Amino acid sequence: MVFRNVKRIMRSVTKRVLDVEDNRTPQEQMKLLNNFLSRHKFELNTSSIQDLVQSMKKKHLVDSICICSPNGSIVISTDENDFSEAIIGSAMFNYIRTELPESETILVKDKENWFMIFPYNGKIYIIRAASDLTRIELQILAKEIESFLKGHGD
Amino acid sequence: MGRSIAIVSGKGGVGKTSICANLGIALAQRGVNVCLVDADIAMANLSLLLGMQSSPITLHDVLLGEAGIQDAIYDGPNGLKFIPSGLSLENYRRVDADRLATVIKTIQSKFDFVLLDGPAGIEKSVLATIASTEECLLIATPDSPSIADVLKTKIVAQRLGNKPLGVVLNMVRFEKGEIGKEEVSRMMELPVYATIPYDDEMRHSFQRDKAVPVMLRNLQAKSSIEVQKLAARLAGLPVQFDEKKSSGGILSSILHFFASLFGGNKNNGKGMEEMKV
Repeated sequence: MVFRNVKRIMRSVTKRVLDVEDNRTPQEQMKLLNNFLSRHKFELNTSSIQDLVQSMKKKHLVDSICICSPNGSIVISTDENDFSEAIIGSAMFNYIRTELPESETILVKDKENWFMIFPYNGKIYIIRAASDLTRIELQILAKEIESFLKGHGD
Repeated sequence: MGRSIAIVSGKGGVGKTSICANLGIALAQRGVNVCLVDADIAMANLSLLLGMQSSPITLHDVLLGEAGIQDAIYDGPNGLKFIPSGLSLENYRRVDADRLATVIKTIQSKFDFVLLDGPAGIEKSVLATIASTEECLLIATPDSPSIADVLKTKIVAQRLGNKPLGVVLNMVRFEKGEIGKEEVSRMMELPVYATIPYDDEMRHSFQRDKAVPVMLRNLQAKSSIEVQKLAARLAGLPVQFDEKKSSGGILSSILHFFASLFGGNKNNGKGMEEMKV
């Protein structure tokens, strides 16, 4: 035990005096991480639903968010030309719900995108992203938007 | 309602499971009503560390809807409760991790703390672990790959509405190439909750016939001491052990002095004293 401790001290002294290990705090890597972190800051403190959904798009790493009523009329969307997406999405969801009444989320994959269609609080959410999100992520995204809508009188 | 805390890291092998087990034991030793959950439904290591890998009813059964949560709660050391995960790969494929949040909500009111040992990565089961708790402790080692991963985990936690409490730096050797706790804290914009030194006593937990967490073997080990401080800080309790007693006599004091003199890191020598609660 004593011998081991003495050996450890000797090793420390040798390392210190001879500087045998050229260890440095990796500053370049730290810079990279700081830069990475700065790209993931989101301003969600807004009173505009349009600004909020744009921020949510970045926060949740998705390409578009379209919220519509069950009849296909748009409530809010991150893209201006989402009318067809809302109509097709809600129609598809309504059809699948009639065939599979307990379905919670519909995932559609086309060549480049994933479409995730799910209901939340009487609305239909259509999320487009390059990869599929889990149900947990989708629910949290919807919950955040709904709590904003609730706080701002729907 | 008790607190639910996920122990997560992003990177594997940084000591999540060891910290979760020892932290749970330290809390239980202080009389805190704590439940540990092995939320790593694919790789149930906490169950191994607590020697409960062959429990008949596990979290798998609960998440499959085949058992009630009360049936999966077992007595652990020092009065803590433990919910093990299963080892079956078939069940892992069948389990719906989305149900974890409901399960945790069910037991949260019965305990002061529910600690979840999360899996590595940021895949679905990690998301489920984070989303089913209100707070998380981020575990990292003082090197850039680990910090990079824990950074991502912090972003994911915030995205899921979870509140990261702070970072626990584990396996710290106080060498000059390590990323210091001030730098970690500044970059993560979170406090460093504990600095746990690299300790052979901790590493030896699995190196025996029956795995035994360091908190059950050696309360005076340097890692045990820091875990006790972490537990006290987390629960808002005063630190209770005798610092002089823990130093282990004159020889140890001399060694500690030399270690702090030659370690080369500005954190060196402060690790033990800085964690004032």
